Formats: sequence, structure tokens, C-alpha cells
Amino acid sequence: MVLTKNSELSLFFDHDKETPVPLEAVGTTTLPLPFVNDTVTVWVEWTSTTHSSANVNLFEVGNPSAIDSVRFHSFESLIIAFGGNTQNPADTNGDGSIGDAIDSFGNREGLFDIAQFMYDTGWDVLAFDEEDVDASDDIPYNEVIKARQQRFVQKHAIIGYSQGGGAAHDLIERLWNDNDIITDIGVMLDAVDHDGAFAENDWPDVAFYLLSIYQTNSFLRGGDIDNFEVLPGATLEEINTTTDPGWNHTLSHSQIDDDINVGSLIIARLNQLLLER
Amino acid sequence: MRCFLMYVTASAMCVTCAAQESSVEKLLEQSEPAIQTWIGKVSDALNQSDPKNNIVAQKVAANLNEAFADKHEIVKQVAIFAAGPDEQQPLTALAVLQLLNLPPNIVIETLAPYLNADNIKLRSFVLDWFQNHDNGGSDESPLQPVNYADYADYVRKRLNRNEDIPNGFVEYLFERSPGRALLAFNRADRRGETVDRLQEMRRELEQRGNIGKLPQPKAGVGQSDIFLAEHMISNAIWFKKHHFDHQFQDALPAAKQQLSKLSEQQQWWVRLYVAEIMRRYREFRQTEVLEKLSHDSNAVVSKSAKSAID
Repeated sequence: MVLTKNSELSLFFDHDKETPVPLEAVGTTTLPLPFVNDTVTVWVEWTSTTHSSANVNLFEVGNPSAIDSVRFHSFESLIIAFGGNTQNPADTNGDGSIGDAIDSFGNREGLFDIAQFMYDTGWDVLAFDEEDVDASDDIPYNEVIKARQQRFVQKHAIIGYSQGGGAAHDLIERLWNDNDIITDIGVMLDAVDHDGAFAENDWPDVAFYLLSIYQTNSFLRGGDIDNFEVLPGATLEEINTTTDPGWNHTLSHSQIDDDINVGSLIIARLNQLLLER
Repeated sequence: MRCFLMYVTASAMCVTCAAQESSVEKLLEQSEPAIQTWIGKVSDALNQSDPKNNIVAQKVAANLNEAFADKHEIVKQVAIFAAGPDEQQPLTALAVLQLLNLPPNIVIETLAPYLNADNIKLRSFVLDWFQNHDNGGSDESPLQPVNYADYADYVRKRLNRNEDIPNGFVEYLFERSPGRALLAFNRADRRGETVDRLQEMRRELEQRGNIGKLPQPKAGVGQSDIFLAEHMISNAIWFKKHHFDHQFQDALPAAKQQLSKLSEQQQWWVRLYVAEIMRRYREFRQTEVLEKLSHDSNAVVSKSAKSAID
């Protein structure tokens, strides 16, 4: 069997692109694939500088009818998600979701549930431990830089809960101050100062749209951001679930990230503002 | 012509002095007896000789903090207390402020206008708080953190609201650490270009469907030029400070060239950096640059340049 592909795609036998899949002279059809036990793994890279979609088709040699086809598109947006203190971005219980239960009382890694939902609906989501924001390998920062500068990603969101909200704040500021990159949408969910225990209620220098949702029932909490800091053209949307009408006024710090209405609003804003996956 | 210029300068200085003096007088007139009573209680507790009473002072300070929601007002009242009759009041006020443990932005916003106050007690109290907060100065150690980030935030907020930055605060920043001050202003003073980009993003979003029209991040040429210049000049200063004379002589011409370029910049705070570096370090001085800056339209810049010439 062979694969055919569009010119936007390159095929490899390994994830680090050491071994390209050999092509016929035409350059769009592979040589017969080396199946072992009816299996072969092929890695696909989008190599075009323009955003579009392209197919990889599987054929029997000599038969013009495709057996199967996979459609690829380049990501035009990126979502970076930071959980709260000690929350693990891995799928710790093997249920296929990075949002897992934290305790036996129904408390969950709500921010990662949101991240998983966005991933499951086709968005490019990278989830991190909040400590990753200033770790030596600097992955969240570098992923945004690479996305914007090398993958031509048009929009990005940075979302976080609790100390992860503080991490989101810090990353938004750093991207602007060090690299002139404006974050399209930031979400600070009951944000606590990264590496601290008090509310992170500082406007992160520059952001196009910032959604801040917080409660005031718990000692650990987010807080009111100074509206005067918001520059013309930017938007700050703030919700105090403890006092604003229409919200569950009893939400605590550990519950707010699991609240369905809070999660729905975050998901809605990400869809509205990122536009394209 | 020379006489005329001198007259204008002297007049401008007098106006500045008068304005500063009246603002201090105005501050001292705003004493709030209720808060002053609380501050007095904290002070009394601090003045007890038994160290255990510091816990009492902490509790009284906590009560003061809880009793008044307006934290800026509390800081203002502590400043007024500092200017009181007792010789120890500036230091007692400093101790009270430290016990209150208020967010630095509130203290900076309240006290920055009084860094060059004529009232010696008030000025001493304010200066001590800032020096303790930023941990900078000529004796700063590479092993200890220096905090100019809160100052950059303060400058950014003022500029974003089109508010003036107090001269005393500007002078303090540049005299204490000209390089860090330049970087703080370089980070903070970007309102114009930022608003343009945000509004462009909004237009693009409103025309949903025009995917791909979002502007790519720009290089920020002016900002990175300043960033590079500061590094080259700081590098030369580092060689000088640590007596690497040969390396200093190698680095000096390029550093002076950067200073000359910066002196042509539109932003007054860049020119102030040039004046301050030349005031501090004789080797970096360039007569024509200093002469020009001594007639700068910004009073703080011209003051610094003149003191370098003198």
C-alpha cells in the first residue's frame, strides 16, 4: 500500500523527522509502505507557510480508489492552560482526560476539564503545571513564541486557575515586555499571585481581552482589577461570582473552577475570540 | 541673550520650588485625627522597651489596617505623622509603615510625589522607604535582587492615564540607577504604539471572516535599540567599576557613540539617562552633548546636564 499527499505535507517514519518516507519521482506518492504485522507508523508535518487543509490518502498499489483518507489542517490558534497549585496536567487516572478528580468530595481539576473540552473540540491546547511558567526549560513561553513566529499562528489564549491564573498573568506580561506579543485572550480564574497566596489582581500590562472571574468567599481568591489600567482597544470582563447576579454566590476557591457556568463562559469566550482552530 | 536665558531658568526654578512647598503644606493640612490616633497607638507600642510588645504593635497595626478601607489614606497619614515634632518620628513612621505591610504599589503611588519634599523629616521617611524597597544604589550587590519592576508599573500606570510623573521620583530613579531607570521607562512608555495595535486587532475581530489579517508581532525597533544601548553602556561601566582598564578603553568608544545617539531621542527620559550617565562618569562626557542637554526643554534633563558641566 502507498500514501498520497498534498504538497503542504511531509511524511516521516519517526517523530523527530530523521527518516522521511521515500516518495516516487512525482513527489506526492510514497513508495510501498513497509508494513510489519499489518502496521506502519507515519508522522505528518505541515510544512507550508500558509494556512489551509490537506489530505493523506491510503491506496492499494494499482488501485485508484482510496481505502482511507485523513484530513489535516494547520493550527491557526493556540491555547496555553495552567492549572492550580499541585494540579497535574497529565491524565493521572487513565480515563482519557487531563481533568481528573482531586479528592473524594467531587473536587476536580476544573481548568484542565476546560482544556480537555477545547482539545476534544479540535483546538490546539497545551496544558501545564503552573510551576512550568518560570521553569528553566521555559516551555510555555517558547511554545507561544514558536507558534506566533514559526507556525504563523494568528491568535493565542493563555488561561489559568488560582496560581495558574497568576502564571497566566506573568506569561502575558512577559510575552509583551520581552517579545512585543499581545495576547489575544487571557483568562484569570480566581487568580492567585504565582508563587504567592494573595489575589493576583494586576492588569497584565497589555492584553486584547482579559476575562477575570473570581469569588470572595475564601481566603484564597482572585480580585478586582483596576479598570483604569485597560488601554483603549482592550477589554476587561470581570465577574465576581459572590456578588454578581446570575452566578452561584456560594462558590469557594476550590469550587469555582468546577462550576459549569464558569466553564461555559470561558469556553464561549475562547470560541468567540480565537475564531479559528 | 545669555542674561535673558539665565533669568528664565531662575524663574522656572522658583516656580517649581513654590509648587513643591505648597504641596507639602497641603499634605500636612490633611491630618485625619482618627487615623493619627491609631498611628500614635502603634508608635506607643513600638516605643515600649520589651521586645514582646512588638507583637502588640503588630496587632494594633493590623487593627488600623482593618479599620480604614482607604489604604492610600493610611499611607498619607503615616507620612504626615513622619513630619511631626519628635525627632524620631520619621523612623517611627517607617516602622509603622513596615508593620502595616501594605502592597508596594499603594505606598509608591502615595509617597512618590514627596521624594524631593522640602520638609526634611517627610523627605527622609519617604526616601528610606523607597531605598529599602528597591534595594538598589551604588552599593548594590550582584547577589541581591534589585526591584525596579514596581517603579515601572507605577510609571506605566501614570503614562497610560496621561498623568505627569513627579519630578522627585524621576530624579530619584535616575540618580540611584540610571540603567534600571532607563529600562523601567523603556518598558512603561509604550502607550501610543500599544493602543494602535489593540485597535487594529479590534477592527480585525469586528470584520470576522478576514482570517489572517492580524498583524504579526513587530520588532519594536526603538525599544530594542534602547535595550541594546543600555547593555553596551552598562557593560563599559562594569569594566570601569571593576578596574578592567584595558577592556574599559575598548568598550568606551562604542558606549559614547550610543550615548550620543540616545541624546537625540524624542523621549525625555532617554535624554535624562544620557545626562545622568555623563554626570556620574567623567569618561563618558561629550561637551557638545552636555551643552545641548543643558538647554533641554525638560527641566530634570537640563538640571542633570548642568550639574555634569559644573
